Amino acid sequence: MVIHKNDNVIFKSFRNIRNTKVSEASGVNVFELAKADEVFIEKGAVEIIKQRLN
Amino acid sequence: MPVNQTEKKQVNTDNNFKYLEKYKEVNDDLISQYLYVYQRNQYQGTSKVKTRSEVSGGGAKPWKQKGTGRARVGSNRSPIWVGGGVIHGPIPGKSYKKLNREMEKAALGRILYLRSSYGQIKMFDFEESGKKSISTKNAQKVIEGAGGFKIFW
Repeated sequence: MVIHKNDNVIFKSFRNIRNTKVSEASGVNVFELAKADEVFIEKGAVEIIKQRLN
Repeated sequence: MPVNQTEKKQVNTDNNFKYLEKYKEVNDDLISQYLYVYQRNQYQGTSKVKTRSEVSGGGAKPWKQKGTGRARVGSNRSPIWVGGGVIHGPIPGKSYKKLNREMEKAALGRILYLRSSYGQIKMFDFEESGKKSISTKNAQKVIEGAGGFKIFW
């Protein structure tokens, strides 16, 4: 689960769901993306990832 | 992600991933190189074992050299004895490995490209899905609504 900003409410919402991990778009790394079975990206996070790659 | 999965035709036609096309030709070995460096840097380097000289005791020769019929022994802290020292164990110390910034970027782009081409990236938006209040209940609906896994409590 990649979110666009460090939002404590989102972290708390997902922490009780098994096998999920929430990461901020500015800090997500290849290890997390490779390890996950499925990746969920928040729409707002796409722009941040784009900026990281440029 | 299965490593033997060959690159198939692009499943995800979402415009959000069009910019990842430039990572089509990037070598997959870069990802494994990144993972090696990342995992190596996670090692804390704080584990330690005692060698035969660090284990307390062991000063006196257990029995005399000759005449007992037993194998000659000089110390009861020998590595082959129970309670003896440990050989070739970990010692404290950490070495950092580094990957160039451009290589890190390329690895990130490549893994995102691979994930998107297999259709393994799902987009979600709390506001668009009508879940203005963020809660675990709504988070579950967002995951399931985006085509994710089924959550059992």
